[in-house]
Amino acid sequence: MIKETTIQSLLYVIVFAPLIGAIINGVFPRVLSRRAVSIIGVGLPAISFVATVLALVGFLGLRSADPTYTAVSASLFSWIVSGPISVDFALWLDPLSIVMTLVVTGIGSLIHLYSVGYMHDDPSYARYFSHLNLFLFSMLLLVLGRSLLLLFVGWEGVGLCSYLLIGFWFDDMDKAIAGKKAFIVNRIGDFGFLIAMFFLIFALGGSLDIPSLRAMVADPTSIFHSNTAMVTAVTLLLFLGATGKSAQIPLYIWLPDAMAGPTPVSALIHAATMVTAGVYMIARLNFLYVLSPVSMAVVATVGALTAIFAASIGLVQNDIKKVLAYSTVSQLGYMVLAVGVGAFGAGIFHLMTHAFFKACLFLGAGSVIHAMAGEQDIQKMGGLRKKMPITHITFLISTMAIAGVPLLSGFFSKDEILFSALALQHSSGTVAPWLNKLWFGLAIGAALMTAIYMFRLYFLTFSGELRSPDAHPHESPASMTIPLIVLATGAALAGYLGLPIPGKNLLHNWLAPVFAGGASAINNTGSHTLEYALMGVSTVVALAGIGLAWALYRGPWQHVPAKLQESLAGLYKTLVNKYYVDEAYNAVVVKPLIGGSKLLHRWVDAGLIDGIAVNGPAKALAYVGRTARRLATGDVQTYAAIFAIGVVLLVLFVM
Amino acid sequence: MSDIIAFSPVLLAAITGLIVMVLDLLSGKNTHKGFLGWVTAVGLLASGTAACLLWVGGREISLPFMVGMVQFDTYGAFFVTLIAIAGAASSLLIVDHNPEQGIHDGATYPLVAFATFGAMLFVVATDMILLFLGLEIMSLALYVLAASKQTSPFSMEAGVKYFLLGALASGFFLFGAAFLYGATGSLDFVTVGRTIQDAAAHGSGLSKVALVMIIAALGFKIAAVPFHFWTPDVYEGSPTPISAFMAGVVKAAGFAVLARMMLTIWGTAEFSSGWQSPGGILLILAVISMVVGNIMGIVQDNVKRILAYSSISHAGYILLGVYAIGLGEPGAVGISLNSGVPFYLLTYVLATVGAFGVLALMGGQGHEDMSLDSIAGLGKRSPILALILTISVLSLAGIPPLLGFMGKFVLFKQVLLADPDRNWVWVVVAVLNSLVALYYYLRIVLYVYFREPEGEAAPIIKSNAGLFAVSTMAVLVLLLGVFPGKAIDASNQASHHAVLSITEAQAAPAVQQESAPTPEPKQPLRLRQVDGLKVDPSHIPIIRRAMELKLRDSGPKPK
Repeated sequence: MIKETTIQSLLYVIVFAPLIGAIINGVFPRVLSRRAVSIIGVGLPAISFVATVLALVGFLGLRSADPTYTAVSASLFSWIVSGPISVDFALWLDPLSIVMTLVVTGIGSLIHLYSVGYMHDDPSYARYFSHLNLFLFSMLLLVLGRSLLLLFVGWEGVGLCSYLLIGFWFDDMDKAIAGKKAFIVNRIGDFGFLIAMFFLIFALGGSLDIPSLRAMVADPTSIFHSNTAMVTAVTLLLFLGATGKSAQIPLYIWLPDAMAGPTPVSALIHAATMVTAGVYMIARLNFLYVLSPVSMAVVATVGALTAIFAASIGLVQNDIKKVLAYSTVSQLGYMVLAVGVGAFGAGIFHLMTHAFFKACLFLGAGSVIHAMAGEQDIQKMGGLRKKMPITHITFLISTMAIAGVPLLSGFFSKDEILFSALALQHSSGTVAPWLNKLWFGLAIGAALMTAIYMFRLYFLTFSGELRSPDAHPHESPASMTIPLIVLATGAALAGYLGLPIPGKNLLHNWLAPVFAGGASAINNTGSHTLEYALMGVSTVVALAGIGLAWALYRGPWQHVPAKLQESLAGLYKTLVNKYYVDEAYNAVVVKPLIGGSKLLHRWVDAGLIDGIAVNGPAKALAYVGRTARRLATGDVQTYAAIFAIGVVLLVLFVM
Repeated sequence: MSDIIAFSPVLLAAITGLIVMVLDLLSGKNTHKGFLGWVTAVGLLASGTAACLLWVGGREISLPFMVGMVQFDTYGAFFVTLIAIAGAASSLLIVDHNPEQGIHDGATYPLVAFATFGAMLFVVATDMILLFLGLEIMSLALYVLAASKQTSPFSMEAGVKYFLLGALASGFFLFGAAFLYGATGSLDFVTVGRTIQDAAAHGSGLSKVALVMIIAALGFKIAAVPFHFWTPDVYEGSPTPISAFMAGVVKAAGFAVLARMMLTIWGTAEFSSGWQSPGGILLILAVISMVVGNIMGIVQDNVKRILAYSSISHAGYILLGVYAIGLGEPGAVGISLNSGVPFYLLTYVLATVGAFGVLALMGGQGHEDMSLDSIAGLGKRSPILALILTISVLSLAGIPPLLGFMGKFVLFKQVLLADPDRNWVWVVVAVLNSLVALYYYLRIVLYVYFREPEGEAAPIIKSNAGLFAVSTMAVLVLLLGVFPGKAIDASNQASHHAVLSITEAQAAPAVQQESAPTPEPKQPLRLRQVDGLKVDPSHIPIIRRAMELKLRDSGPKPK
C-alpha cells in the first residue's frame, strides 16, 4: 500500500527527474562522454516513467480504499500572491493527469531510447538530449499543474522546446525559419490563452486553481451561469490557444514546417504529446466549456473542418514526414471534434491511441530516412519491405490502426468519435441538429481520405521495387527497433482499454469523475444499435480506402494517378500547394506587418523616438555630466570643503 | 551565559578575526595564505548562521548587562546576516587577488574580519557610544585595507583620502552625538528620542543641528550626495575586493543605522511632513543622490567608477524609502520603517558584491583601475565571469526576473502607498533615474559581449574561492529574483523592529537597576513581547499621532 505522502513525493520525482537530466546535459555537454549523456538522457525520463507507474499503483490503492477518492495534490510552495490572485506551485494527480502522464513519460522514454540510435552521429548530441529532457519536464508541468497558470508555464515551456528542437540544426536557414514560424504562430494562440486567464480572474472573479474553479462553476447561482457571454469569450480565447498548440485551423500552418526537426522530435513533440495539449486543456476544463454551447459548436466545427482539410492535403504530399504531419493535423482535428461535441473521454481515448500509432509511424519513418541516408521523398523509395522487416511490420500495424482497420486501436477510438459527432447533443438545445450531420459527414470523409493517403504512403514506401538505385537500405539498430516494436504493440492493443461495451469501457469509467461536470450537460441521443451500425460503416469506409489505395498505387489502376493529375490539374495544384494558405497569410498578414514595421522603424523609432526623445535628453545629460565632472577633482581639500558647505547649508535650511 | 548566546553572532566575527590572526602567525612566512580567506569566510558565515538561528528561534533580546546598549532583534539579525555574507564574499575574493604583491599577505584577513565585526556592532548598537565604537572599528580597519596594496600609489591615495574624509565624518558624528546629549542628557536612542519628541524639546535648535550632523556623518558612509566625493576615488583606487566590501558591507551597515537612528529619535507622525522635517532632508538628499549619481555615471569610462556612481544613485533610492515611512502593523506602536528598505539593501548588496567581485577576479597584476576597455571581450575570454557580471549589473539596473527588479518594485510601491497624493512625483523621478542608469549598466554589458579589446585586456585570475563567491551571489540574485517571497517576509519582519520601542527595561531604568541584581533565576533573558498589546502610558502620545496619520491617510483630517 503506497501512502498519499509517498505519491506526493513521487509527483516531484516525475516532474523534476527530466529537469535534472536537462540541466546536467545542458551544463556539462563537453565534460560528459556520449555514453554518459545517453544514460542520463534516457535514464531520467525512465525514472519518471517508473515513478508514474508507482503513483498509479498507489492511486489505485487509495481509490479501492475510498471509492470517492479523486486526486492527490502536492503543493511545493506558494508562488504568487498579489491582490485577488493567489497561485500555488502545486501538482495534482487525478485520473486524467495519470493517463496523460503515462503517455508522456512512457512514449517519451521510448523515443529518448530511439534517439540514442537515431542521433548517434550528431555533433550536438548532449544539447539534443538536454532539450528533449527539458521538453519532457515542461510537458509534465503542463499535465500535472493544478492551476491554469502552471499549466500555462508548461504550455510556454513546451513551445520553447519545440522551437529549440525544430531549429535544432540551426545552421540550415530553412530549419531555423521553420522553428521561428512555429514559435511566432504559437504566440498568437498563447496571447489568447493569456487574455482568457485575465478575463477569468478579473471579469468572472474566477480562480486559476482548477479544482477551485470547478467548485465555483458547480454552483448554479454563480456568475458563470449568468454571464454566458463572458464564459463564451473565455472559452473561445482558450480555444485560440488550443488552435495554436494543437495545430487547428487557422493556426495549423506551423506543424507541417515543424518537420524540419529531427524525426524523433516530430514523433514526441509534434505527434504524440505537445500537440495534444490543446485537447487536454479543453478536456480538463470540460465543466467550463459545457456552459457555452456556442463555444462547443465552434470547437467541434473547427475540429471537423481541420480533419478533412488536412487529410485532403495529405493525399498528394510526397515527403514521408509531410504526409505524417498532415495526418497528425487531421487526427488532432478528430480529437478537437470529440471534445467539441462533449465526448471528452473519446477525445482523450483517441489522443492515447494516436500517441501510440503516430509515434510508431514517425519513428518508422525515421528508421526509413535513416536507412535511405536522409532521403524523404516517397517517390524515390519502394521495396523496403524485405530490407527492413521490423520497420515494415510495425509500420504496417500502425498504418492499419490509423486507417481504422477493425480490432486495432484506431478503429475503436475513431469509431467512438464518429458516433459521438452524430449522437451527442448539448442539453441546452441551442445548437442546430443539422450541425451533427455536418460534423459526422466531414469526419467520415476524412476517415476515407486517411485510409487512402496512409496506404498510399505504405505502398509507395514498402512494396514494389526500390526506385533509387544508389540507396543501400538496411535495418536499424536495436535501440531504434525496440521502441518500434513496443509502440506497434500499443498501437494494436491500446484500443481494448476503451471497448464500446456499456459499463465495460475501462477508460470511460476511469475518467468519469473528471468529466462528471461536463457530462451532465450532454445528452446522448444515439443508441447502441446505432453505434454498432456505425462500426460497420466505418469498417467499410476504411477497407474501401485501403482497396482504392492498393488499386491506385500497387494494383491495376497505377496509371490513373498520373491521368488524374492531368485532368484535374487545377485541383491537384491547389492541393500540392496546400490550398495556398501560406501564401495567403503571407500576403494578408505577414507582408503588411513587415511593411508597417519597417515604416514605424524608420520614421517613428529611428527618427522620432531615438532621434529626438531618446538621444536628445541623453546628449543633454551627458553634457551636464561632463561639466559636473570637473567638480570631482580628486583634491581632498575640495571634497572636505564641499562636505562642510553641505552641512552648513543643511543646518541653515532646517533652522 | 545566555546573554553571550544572544550576542554570539557579533562575537563570532571578532573571534574569527583573532583566530585568523593567530593562524597567520603560526603558519609561517612561506605558506600560501589563501586558506586564511576560507577560514575568515567560514567564521563570518558561522556568525551569519548564528544570527539566522537566533532569529528562527524567536529570541529577541536586550542584554541586561549592557543596560540596553545593544539590541539584537530581527532588524539586527537581518543586517548581521547580510553583512556576514558580504564580508565572507569579500574575504574569498582576496584569496587569489594578487599573488605577488601587496594585498596578499596574512594581515588582510583579520582586518576584514574586524571590519565586519565593527559593522555588526554598529548595527546592533542602540547607544551612541557603542555605535561610535562600532563605526570606528569598521572604519579604521578599512582605512588600512584601502591602502593595503603598498606598491600602488592609487591604493595609497585611496587609503589616505578615505582616512582624512572619514575622520571628518566621524568628527561630525561626535558633534551630533554631543549635541543630542546636550539637548536630552542621554546617549540611549530611546531616551533621546522620547525627550526630543516631547513637546518642550521638539523645537530645540540643538537637536536640529545634531540631526544634520548625524545625517552628514552617516551620509558619508552610505555615499549620499553631497557627502559622496570620496566614493569614486576610493572605490577606484582600493584593491577591488575591498571596494566590494565598502560597497556592500559599509553601505548596508550605514543604512541600517541611519534608518534606525532617524526613526527612533525623530520618528513622529510629522517625520516626513514638509521640507524641513527630518524626512524632508532625507528626501532632498535622496533626489540629488539619484540624479548626481546617475548623470555622473553616464560619463565615466572606468568600470569601478561607474559602479561607484551606481552605488551613489542606489543610496538615493534607499533614502527615498527611509523618507517614506509606513504606519506600524496593528499592535505595533507608532511608525515603522518602510520594509522595502531592508529588502532593497539585500538586493543591492548581493548584486554589487557580485559585480565588484567579477572585477576583482580580473586584472589583479597591478591594474586596479578597470577601464571599460579592459573588460572588453570578456564574454569570449571567460563566459562564466561575463555571465555573472551581466546578471549582477542587470540586477542593479532592475531588469526582471532578477532580484534587483523585485527590490525596486517593492520599494517604489511602498513609497507610493505611503502617501499616494505626493509621493508619486518622487517615484516617477526614481523610475526615470533607473532609466538613465540603464545606459551605463548596459554599456558594461556591451563591452563585455560586443567589443574587442583595443589595448591590453585585463588578465583573468584563476580563483576557485573568488569564483565560488561571485557565482553564489549570481545564483542568489537569480533565485531570489524568481522566488522572492521568503526574502520579502524576512525584510518585513526586520523592518518592524527598525524603530526601537521602549522596552520595560528602558522605560523604567530606575526600577530596572534596582531589580537587576536579583534577576529571576528561571528567566535570565529579558524577552520582549512584541505581539501582545502592552501599552505603556508613555506611548500614548505616539499612538495618538499614529492614529492621526492613519486618519489623514483615509480621509480628510478632522478639524
